[in-house]
Amino acid sequence: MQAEGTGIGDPVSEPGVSAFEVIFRQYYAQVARLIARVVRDHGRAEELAVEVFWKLSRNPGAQGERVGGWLYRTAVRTGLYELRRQGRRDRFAHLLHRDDQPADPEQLTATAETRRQVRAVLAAMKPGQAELVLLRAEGLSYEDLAVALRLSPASVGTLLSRAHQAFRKEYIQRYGER
Amino acid sequence: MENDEGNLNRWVDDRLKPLEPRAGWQPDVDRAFEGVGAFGLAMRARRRRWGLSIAAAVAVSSSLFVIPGCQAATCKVHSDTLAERLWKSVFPGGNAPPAPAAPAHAAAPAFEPVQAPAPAPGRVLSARTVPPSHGTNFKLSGSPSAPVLCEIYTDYECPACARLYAELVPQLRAEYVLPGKVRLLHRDYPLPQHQYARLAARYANAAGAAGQYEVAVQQLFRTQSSWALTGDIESQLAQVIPPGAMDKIRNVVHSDPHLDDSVEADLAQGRADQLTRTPTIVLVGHDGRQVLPYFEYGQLKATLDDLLRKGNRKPGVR
Repeated sequence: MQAEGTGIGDPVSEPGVSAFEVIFRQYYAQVARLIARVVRDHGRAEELAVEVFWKLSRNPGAQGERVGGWLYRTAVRTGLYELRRQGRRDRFAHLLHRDDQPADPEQLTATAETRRQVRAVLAAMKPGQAELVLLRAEGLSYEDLAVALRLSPASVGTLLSRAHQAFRKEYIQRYGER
Repeated sequence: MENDEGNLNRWVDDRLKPLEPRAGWQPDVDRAFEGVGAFGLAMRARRRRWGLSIAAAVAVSSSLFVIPGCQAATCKVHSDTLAERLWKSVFPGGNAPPAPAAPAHAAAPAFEPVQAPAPAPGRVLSARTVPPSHGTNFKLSGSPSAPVLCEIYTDYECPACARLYAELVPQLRAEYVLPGKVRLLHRDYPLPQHQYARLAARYANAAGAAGQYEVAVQQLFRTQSSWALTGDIESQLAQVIPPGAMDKIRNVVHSDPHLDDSVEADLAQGRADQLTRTPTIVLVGHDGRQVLPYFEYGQLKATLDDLLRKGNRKPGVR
């Protein structure tokens, strides 16, 4: 499931371009797509991706050879945080008997329903497990997962398996075996 | 086992597949790169707004909780409750909110708050003087034949009292007390809102018993801002009082059951004088007690000169 261009390594430097810009151009699309998996709005995903790079610009220590790992970790956490925030907002709107969500055509389809369910499950999981599930779905190898989430490479397989089991258990508990 | 694992992975992948971004969606890298700078500016503005909001909140809290408690010029005798302070901060000059009924078994306050209005400026009171209690002559200085007695009520934790003691009292001593025109009596008036004021009065009076009253009073007022935070009065006094005298002071503070008698007598006299604040100066001449509404040296000097000119011969307290 290794996706193209998801390897975590040194950004390639170019003459006349700042190191930050090189990193930005190399990783921005991947970071935005990763966040777009988690949050339902692509526009919001791009905003959050910009926020991730702004944090990177204020953290020179993260701009070393492990910058890819830092970006993936920060991106998935930012996305999950946004997902939980959306969940709280939705619950609040429900309590007030308001439905201020815009009528989204994708919500009218079964796929949209599945997306909503999966995101609800991810938001309910332990953050570390949700990060593993999402980054693996993004196509990161075990080594890249270890770098991105600061895990021991030897334990990634076990932790990922547990995260998958937790995802399945939470999903079935909520929506039954389908 | 491996098969189970594979099935699980496939099951999870199937569920997560719909999360993949819309086909053909391509994030706009150039526009986003420009957005990083704009985002930074927006964040800075947000932080500045937060900073200003917090600073404003701190300023409002200070004005609500600190300033009404002990004003810059004086310390009020009547200690407002928090509700009263809030009410008065919101409605300055308005009526106080109705106070909750006190339970019948409520503990008596340290002393009754002054209910009567403040005496008119320079009003002469007919109340008799409560003399300083026995054994506290160290609070009294000056010639016994002086025609006027000047009583100064202070609270050791009151900043205005410290200023008065540093600025007015030395001039008063030099011009009136040492030449034998005025006697000076220091009265303790520890306010209930000042946590360590009464303890400081105990130490000062114990120092008086050890022959170190003036030194102790000066040091207490000078180091007020230090011990008022911690209550560590002893270490401040130990800096200026010899160790032998300090031992005696400690002994008196910890064991003398009558040490507070003079403070109680001063408080009783203060209530009779209808004190509304500290510091307060009372002049005692042959025609009674006069509570001064000010504590500026120039005004005090004018009043004293007037009293002396009228030929008052009877000292208030012997």
